[in-house]
Amino acid sequence: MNHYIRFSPSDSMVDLVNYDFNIIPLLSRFSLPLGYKQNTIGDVCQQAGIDVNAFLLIIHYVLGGVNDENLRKNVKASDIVKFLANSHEYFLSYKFPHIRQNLLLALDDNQSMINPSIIEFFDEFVAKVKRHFRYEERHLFPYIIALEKGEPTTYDIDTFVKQHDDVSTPLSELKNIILRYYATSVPNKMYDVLVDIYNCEADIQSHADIEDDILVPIVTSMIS
Amino acid sequence: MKTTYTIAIVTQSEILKCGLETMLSCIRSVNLRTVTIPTERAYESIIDIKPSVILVDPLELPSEELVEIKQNIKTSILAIGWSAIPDYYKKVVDGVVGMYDSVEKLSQVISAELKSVKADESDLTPREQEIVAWVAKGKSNKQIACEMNLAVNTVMTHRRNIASKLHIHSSAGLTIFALMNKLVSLEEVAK
Repeated sequence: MNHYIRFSPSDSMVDLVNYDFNIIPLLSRFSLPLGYKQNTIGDVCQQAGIDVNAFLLIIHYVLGGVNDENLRKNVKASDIVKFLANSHEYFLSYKFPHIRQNLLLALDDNQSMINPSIIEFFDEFVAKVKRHFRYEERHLFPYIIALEKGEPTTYDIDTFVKQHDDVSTPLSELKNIILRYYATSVPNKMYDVLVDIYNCEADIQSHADIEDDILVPIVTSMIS
Repeated sequence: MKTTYTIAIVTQSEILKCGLETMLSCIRSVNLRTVTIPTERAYESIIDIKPSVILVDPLELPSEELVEIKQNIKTSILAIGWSAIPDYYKKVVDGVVGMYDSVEKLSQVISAELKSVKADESDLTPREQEIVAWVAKGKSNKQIACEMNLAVNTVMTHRRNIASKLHIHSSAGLTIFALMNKLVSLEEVAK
């Protein structure tokens, strides 16, 4: 991997995007408004009501694979929760419907026998992810917020660590099925869908990694 | 990432070994790793290493051992044709590498053999196809074992092999595969 340049709050937001455009889906998950002008990362975050340390912690982790312990000490668990909850909404309300719609358009009429089962497979995947997300929203997130406020809690982080499973597997399988076995004479749209699925799979994986490697250590340090 | 294939050379002749190694190292179209098999324990080493292609000196391994190797691992065996090769031996091997073959010729032969070994790997056996069809019809491993008169463990081994061949692990995914390849009809799946 190339040497990763660390960005600071005083760096330009546009420079950050130009440095590595793979960051774009992440910005989308932060719901960061566009129109950055000459603004710095600090400015943009402040205007959007996002804690800049939480933002940089996640950016460093996803782009550079750096899990910065010093930065993590200055980040509140609730700010990470806010990002994660926002990401859930992004996947469920935007990304999945978007992929589903494009998938419908990309299916070849000559494969009408198989097409319904592909959509069904995708829908089952979405339902599974939804259950996974809702569980976290009902149990994990309220627990962390309560913990931060010093309120009594009924859940514990070890339960989460034990139960946290990989939800992106079906997506990887769908990608494989299409890539290896779905014959179509009009592949352009399907290629686009594949790009979306590959990206989405990576995004979900990075989402889960943020929970495991950033959120869990912050919560663990709160209770110890 | 490019797959690296193992090519095994079985001969006691230093000149054959060095010559083949040098020629193989000139092949750039595929990634090859060459290993020389010690002739005294050739059979065991081959089973252990599982080479994709074996270049064998007909003096070193009797035809019966070649048959046994083929039964145990998926591989292609080429005889090194330094002398006349009896017909019974030719029948057992997949081809012959000639003493006067050029690097291009050797490269072509090896590539063709690799292709056939690989094709075998990704194609399901009739038994595996049958299992995929049962999975698509919604049967559990236990039910499949009953229907096919097999042990549950055997069915599970087949399922593992199917998953690694197709890169599809879930029943839902296998159902789509079964439909795509007409192993089942839509009505049978819906039932």
